Amino acid sequence: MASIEGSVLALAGMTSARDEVDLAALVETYAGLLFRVVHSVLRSRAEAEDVVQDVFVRVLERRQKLGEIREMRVWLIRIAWNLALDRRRRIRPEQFDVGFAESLVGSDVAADKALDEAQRMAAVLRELERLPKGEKHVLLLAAIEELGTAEIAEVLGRSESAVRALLFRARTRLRERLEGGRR
Amino acid sequence: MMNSDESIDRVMAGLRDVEAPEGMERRVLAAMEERAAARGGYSWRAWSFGLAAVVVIAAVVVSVAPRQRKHSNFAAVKLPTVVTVPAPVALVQRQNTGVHRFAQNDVNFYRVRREETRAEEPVTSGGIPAPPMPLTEQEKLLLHLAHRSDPQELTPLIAEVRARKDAEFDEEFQEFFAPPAPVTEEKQTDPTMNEKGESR
Repeated sequence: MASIEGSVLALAGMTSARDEVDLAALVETYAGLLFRVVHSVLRSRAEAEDVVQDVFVRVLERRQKLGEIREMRVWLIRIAWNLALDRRRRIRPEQFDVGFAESLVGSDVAADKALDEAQRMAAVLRELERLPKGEKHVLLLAAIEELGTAEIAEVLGRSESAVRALLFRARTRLRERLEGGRR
Repeated sequence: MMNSDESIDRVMAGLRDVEAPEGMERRVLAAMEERAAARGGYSWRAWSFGLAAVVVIAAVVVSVAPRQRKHSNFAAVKLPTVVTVPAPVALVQRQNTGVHRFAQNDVNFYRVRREETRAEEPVTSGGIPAPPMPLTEQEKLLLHLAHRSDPQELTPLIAEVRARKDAEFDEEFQEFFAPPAPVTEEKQTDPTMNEKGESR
């Protein structure tokens, strides 16, 4: 805790009087949300944390202009989202999806049933990745509880009605594919 | 057995409820601090490197400038002699009066010229070329003739054509001023003249 306070003081010293934005406060406020956004794309905790660090380092590099940003939350989410998509292109997601699917299965389930459920979660993630890009992105961002339709629309650069339509189509298509694959 | 909707909701819930790793904020702040320090160090190094470069350039300029000034002064003093760089006597005669006196006596001219050439050597071999001599009016006319006039005007420059032209001109001249034909008797019997050759 002492080291966090030390970092807060050091970062407070970095921010000049002109840009009035407390970088340490930004980290405390938004780090968790950004982690979830990035994790929805990468499904790896280590990779997600790395990307969150990148986000705040980039914020630090632009600290002279932070005072001019109107919607800090959306701006940060957009940076995190773009960095996550960029990182996603450079890693192999299959291995991370398997670990994440297993983590979704409850610990009190019998071994054979747990294996079955883990495979089913992995199938959902696999089909999710096969969705059209727009639908997949909307579905992933909609999973984050803190994000409303307006914010998702702003992050993706689409209208709210388009986001709602894409979300509906994404769920429908995903369900159909899962049921088609089960038969 | 779960249906598809339940499976999708479960995955979505898993993505929503994921917790950030313990101590992530502290690590993020540390990374930012490290980056800020690195940037500060980099800028300090860049400034010091830039300052050192400026000092070195200034030192070079200060050491070279007086030498160049000395060279330029020397060249300015020697300029009249540089004008006498090998050139035909006819050209030299057209130069200013300071040089013209050498052309009046070839022996004196070449003796003095050799001495001057020896004196010039350090300057001319040091990479300072002699200034170009201005063209005379005749040279300018020749250039004009060679570069701008039509080929017909250039024919006087060709020896054969010029010789032929001269021959034709001489022939015409001779014809025009040919010696008069011998006087005949008919002239004396001109009805408009009397015996003394006076007009009536």
